[in-house]
Amino acid sequence: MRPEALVFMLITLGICGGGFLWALYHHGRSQDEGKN
Amino acid sequence: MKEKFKSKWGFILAGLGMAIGTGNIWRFPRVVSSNGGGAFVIPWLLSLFLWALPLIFLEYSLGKNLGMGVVGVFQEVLGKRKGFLGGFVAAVTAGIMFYYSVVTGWALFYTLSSLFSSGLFSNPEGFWKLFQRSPFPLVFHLLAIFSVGYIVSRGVSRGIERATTVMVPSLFLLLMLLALRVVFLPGGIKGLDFLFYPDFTKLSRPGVWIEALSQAAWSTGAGWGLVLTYSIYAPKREDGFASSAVLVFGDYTASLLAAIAVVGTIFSFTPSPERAGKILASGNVGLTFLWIPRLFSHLPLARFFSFLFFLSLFLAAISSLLSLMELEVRVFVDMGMNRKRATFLISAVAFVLGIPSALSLNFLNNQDWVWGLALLLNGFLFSILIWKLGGRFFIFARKVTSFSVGRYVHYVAKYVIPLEFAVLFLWWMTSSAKGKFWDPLRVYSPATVLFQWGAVIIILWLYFKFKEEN
Repeated sequence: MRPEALVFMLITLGICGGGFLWALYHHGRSQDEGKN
Repeated sequence: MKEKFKSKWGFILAGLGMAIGTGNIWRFPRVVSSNGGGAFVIPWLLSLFLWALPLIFLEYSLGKNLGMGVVGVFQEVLGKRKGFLGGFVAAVTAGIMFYYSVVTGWALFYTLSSLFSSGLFSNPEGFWKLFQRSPFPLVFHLLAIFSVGYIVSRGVSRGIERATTVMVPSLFLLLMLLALRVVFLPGGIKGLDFLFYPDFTKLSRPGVWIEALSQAAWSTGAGWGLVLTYSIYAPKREDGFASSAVLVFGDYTASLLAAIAVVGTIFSFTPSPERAGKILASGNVGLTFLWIPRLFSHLPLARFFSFLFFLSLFLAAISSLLSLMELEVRVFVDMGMNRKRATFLISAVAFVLGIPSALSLNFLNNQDWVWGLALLLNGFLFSILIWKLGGRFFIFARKVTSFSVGRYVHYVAKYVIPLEFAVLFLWWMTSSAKGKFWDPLRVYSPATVLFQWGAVIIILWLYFKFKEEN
C-alpha cells in the first residue's frame, strides 16, 4: 500500500469513526446528565 | 398518550437505520473509486458540514419543537396554503418508497438464494435475468412492503424501535466483519490502496464535487423529512445536535466499511486496476447483483459470505423503508386518521404503485432519477423554512441542544444550501440534456423530471387551495 493511500485512509477513518464516537459519547452523556 | 421511543438508544438506532441504506453499500464504493479515491474524501467531508449535518439538525429541531409531520410543519411555518410544499416533500418520499420496496425485495430474494441456489454463483447473469422475468420481484415487493407496514402499524416503540434495535447493530457488525475479512484476503490491500490513494487532479473536475454533494444528500437522508418525523418521538432528555452528528457520522462510517468490503473483494479476484475499474463502473445493479455473487464464488464459504453481504443490504434497505413508511403514516395521523388504518392504506397504495417498478427496470430507473433529484429540491424547501423562521430558529435550536450551533446551522441553511441546490440542479439538468431531452417518456430526460414534479405540485397545490376554501 502506498504511503499516501495509507495516510488518507487513516485520516478518513479517523474523522468519520472519530466523529461517530464523539457524537455517541455526547449523546449518551446528554441523557445521563438530563440536558434539555 | 403521545408515542415516544422508549429505550435510551431507540431513537439513535432507528435514525441510523433510516440513514444507512442501499446508497451506502452499492453507490458509495462505486462513486469514491471513480472520483479520485482519497481526494474525493475532501469534497465528501465538506458536504457533511455544508449540507447533511445542518439539514439534519434543522429537521430535528423543527420536528421536536413543533411535534408535527412534514405537512404540518410547513403549514405551521409558512401558512395553511403552503402545506403543498410539505406535501411535495412527503410525495417525494412516497415516490422513493414505491420502488425502494422493490429493491428491498430483491435484497431479500438474494439473501435467501445465497443459501439455497447454486445458479446464483455459477451463472449470475442468467440467474438475474431469470429472476427479473419471474413473478418473484412482485412477490418479494409485496412481502417487503407489508412486513414494513406490519412493523409500523405496531407503533413507534413496539414496532420501529424493537425492529431497529436488532437490525442496526447487526448491520454494523456484518459490515465490520465483511470489511475485516477483505483486509486478510490476498490482494485485498491493493483494493484499499486503489480506494484511498488521492488523485488530486480529479478535484479540478466540477463533476467530482457534484458527485460528493449528491452522495451526501442521498446517503444521509438529509432533507427527506425523515429525521423530522422520527424526532417527534425522540425522548425529552436528548441532545439534538449530538444525535444529528451520530446519524451523519454513523452513515459516513458505514459507507467507508462498505467501500472497504466491496472494493477489496473486487481487487482480490481481478488481475488489474483497469478491470476492477470496469466492474465498479457497471452501475448499482450490475455491481451488486451480477459481480458480487461471481466474486464471492471464488471464496471458500462462498454461500456464507454472500449470505452475509445480501443480508446486510437487506437490513440496510428495510430499516430505511421503515422510516419512509413512518413519514407517510405520520402525515395521515396528523390529519386525524388512525395509525393502523393509515398504515394499511399506505402499504396497499405503495404495493400497487410499486408494481410498475417491480415489472420494469426502466421504470424503476426513471423513478430513481426523478425522485432522487427531487431530494435536492427538498433540501432547498427546508432552507425556505429557515428564511421564514428567522430568529425563532435560534429559540428552537437552544431548546434541543446545549451546543452553540444555531448560527452555523442558520447561516448554512439560509445561504449555502440554496446555492448548492441551484448549482447541482443546473448541472444535472444540463448534463442530462442530450438527444431527446424534451421527451417525458425517456428514462433520464430533464422533461420527465419536470413533468412528474410539475404534475405532483399542481395536484397538491389544488388540493390545499380547495381544502382551505371549503
